[in-house]
Amino acid sequence: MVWIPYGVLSGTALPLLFATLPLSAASIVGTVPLPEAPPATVMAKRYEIVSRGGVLSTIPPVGVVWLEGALDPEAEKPALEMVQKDFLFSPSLIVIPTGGSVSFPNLDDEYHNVFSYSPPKRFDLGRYMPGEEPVPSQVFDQPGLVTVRCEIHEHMRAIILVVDSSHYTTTGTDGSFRLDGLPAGTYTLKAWVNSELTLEKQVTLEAAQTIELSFGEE
Amino acid sequence: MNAEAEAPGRTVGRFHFRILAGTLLVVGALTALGALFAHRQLALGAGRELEAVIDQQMEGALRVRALRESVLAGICGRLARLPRIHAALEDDALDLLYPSARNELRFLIDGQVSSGGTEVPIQAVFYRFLDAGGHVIPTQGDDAAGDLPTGIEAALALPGVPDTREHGFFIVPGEAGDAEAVEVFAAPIVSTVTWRPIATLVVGFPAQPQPGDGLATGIWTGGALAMDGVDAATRARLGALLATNARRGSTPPRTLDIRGVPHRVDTRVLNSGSPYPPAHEVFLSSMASLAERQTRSLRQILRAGAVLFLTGALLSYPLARRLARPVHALARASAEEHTQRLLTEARLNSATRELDRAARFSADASHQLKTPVSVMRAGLELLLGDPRLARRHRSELEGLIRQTQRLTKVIDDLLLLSRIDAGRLRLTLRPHRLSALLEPLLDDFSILPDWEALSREVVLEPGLEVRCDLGYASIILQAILENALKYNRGGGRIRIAGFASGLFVTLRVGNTGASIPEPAQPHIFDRFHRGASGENIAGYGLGLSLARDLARLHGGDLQLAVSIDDWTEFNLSLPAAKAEGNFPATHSVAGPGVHNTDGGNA
Repeated sequence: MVWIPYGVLSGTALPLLFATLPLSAASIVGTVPLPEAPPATVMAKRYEIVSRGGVLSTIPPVGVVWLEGALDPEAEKPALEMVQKDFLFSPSLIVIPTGGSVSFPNLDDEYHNVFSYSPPKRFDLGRYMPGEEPVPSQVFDQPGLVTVRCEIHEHMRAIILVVDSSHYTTTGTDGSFRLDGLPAGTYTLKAWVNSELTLEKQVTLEAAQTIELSFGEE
Repeated sequence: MNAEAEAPGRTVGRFHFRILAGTLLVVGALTALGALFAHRQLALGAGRELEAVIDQQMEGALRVRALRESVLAGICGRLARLPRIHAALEDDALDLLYPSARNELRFLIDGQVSSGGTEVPIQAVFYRFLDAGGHVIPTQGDDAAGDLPTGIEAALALPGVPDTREHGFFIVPGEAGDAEAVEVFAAPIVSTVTWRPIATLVVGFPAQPQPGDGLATGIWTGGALAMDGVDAATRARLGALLATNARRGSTPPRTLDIRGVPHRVDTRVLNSGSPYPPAHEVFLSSMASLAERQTRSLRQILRAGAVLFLTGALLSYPLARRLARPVHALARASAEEHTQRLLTEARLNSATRELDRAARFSADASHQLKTPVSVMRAGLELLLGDPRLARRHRSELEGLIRQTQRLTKVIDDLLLLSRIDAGRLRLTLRPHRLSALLEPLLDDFSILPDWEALSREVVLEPGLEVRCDLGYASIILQAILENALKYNRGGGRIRIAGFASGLFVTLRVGNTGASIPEPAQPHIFDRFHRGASGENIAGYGLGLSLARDLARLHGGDLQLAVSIDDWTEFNLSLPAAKAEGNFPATHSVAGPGVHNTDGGNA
């Protein structure tokens, strides 16, 4: 079992995986080049997912780094929560491995609707008031970017990044990240910057090795 | 005289012909003008009427279009707020676009919509979405969006998302094989979150302009024409005509001949400034009724013209005769006048000849008379010079010499008179001071004892100047003074006064003595008049007459002012030298040929 410390963007994120650090686990530290934080518009202050010219990204920009292909089929699939509170999806960015699920409880006094047209998962949980039982949730069995929207409230948007990996993390606003407890082998390290840009690098990991790399080079 | 008797008849004939010609011309011109004017007015009026109808049509079409556009704007606004549409467009889910929009757009295809209580014809043929690049997003089998007529898909594309609602027309093959027009609206869908356009909604409506009275309407765009109510051949010709004119860039109206009936073709631009190709609404109207009206009015005018002309021709006969009467009379009168003139001229000529003869005669006679008299006088003087002459013979001879002198004077006066009568007198007018005229005469008279015996009074205003001929003026003054002396009495008085009176200078000569009897007063200036009491007085009656004639020749006059009791006064007026202007002889005493020379000014 690998215990992987990782930071999340906002709100509460329940660490779903605790594992002890194997002595032979590899690590990667590095940076992901992130775009400058665009000047926040009045609108952007309310929202954290921003679409510019159809490109979704976060405000402030952060990236998601994962080791593609290192998906542990035996591991328990995490079940995360994305609430609707104050007419916002919270958190607005969730990263889960393929097979994980997210539930969407409505904590407002209003009808909300959760749906997505994204190719990895198209779903529509319908409209429901708070207190809906059971809490509508969705399993995401395809990797990719899922844009979550509310049919009633146009501005409500969130991103669920389904990655084909058990090892993932979100970067800091400066683009720095750290992945620990990685299995040895040759993998592709991917970094999601925004809905259009996903950087990748081939890495070969050896036990107890810490690789330092930066996506900004080459 | 025969020639003149004929002339009136010919004159009338010519006159009548002229009146007839004039009437024809006037009537013809009026008719032509009237026809032209009516023709043009009709055409203009019809043209204006037609344009009014067309404008109405256009207005109607514009209303429908505005309605459709507003409905569309509403739809687009709602679509823009639909998260599903956003999701379909942004989240790589175009296949879900049309299904997501179906609910909103269903009514467009299905049926009418009532707006404000009235049924609005906004049933669309199809709707499609264009992506941000302006390309048509295929429906992927969704029937609800309507069938896209063949060939339109490519034409619907735009360079991007338009800023405002755009308008276009397309001609598509219709069901019956003829062409139909589709009116296409393109409206941008703008995200209310980012205020960026995300897509364009394109809706196609059937474009069926309603024909008006006598008006066939159609749409012409992209070189194709869709028009109801005309056969294919006419459509083709009309299309060709429009294409030719579009190339040349000329503007309506144009005419097209359809089966011999002229038709007027008007066009109005439907979508100026649109990114879609330009489309025109074409109006075809028959000019048959206009042509018919024009022909009718022309015929009416020609008829009226003919009637006018006939009336004129009929009236011209009595009119000519009536008008010719004064012409007639004028012709006669002028002939008479002509004769009179000839007569008068002849008389004048004979009078002139007689005058000439008289003048020449008197001149000749005077000269003939003067010669023997001078001879006589010379002989007598010679005799007088003989010292052996006895006293009584001497006094006799002196008496005879005095008579010859007298005779000479008479002859001179007669000569002068005759020259005055013949108008052969030349006056050289110059300014002379009156005093300068009088003084020499007074000097001359002063040697006469009778003159010295009289008490004399001479009062002249200072600076009096007269314009006169020196010699003849002296003769006038001499005659007057002689009279004043002759007809005076012993111990009498002479008063000479001279003063300016207006443009003249007056010399008033008065003398004491027997006055002239009243009945004789008008005759004193007659020639050879002697007063009843004048038998003893020397003279022969020419003096006053000559003096007056000469005074009048100067432009002045000699008049008897008063003759009563013991006082007789004559007034001589002569033009003042300071006065401007010519002084024609008053009371012309001479015939033609009086010459007044005024020191150079005539």
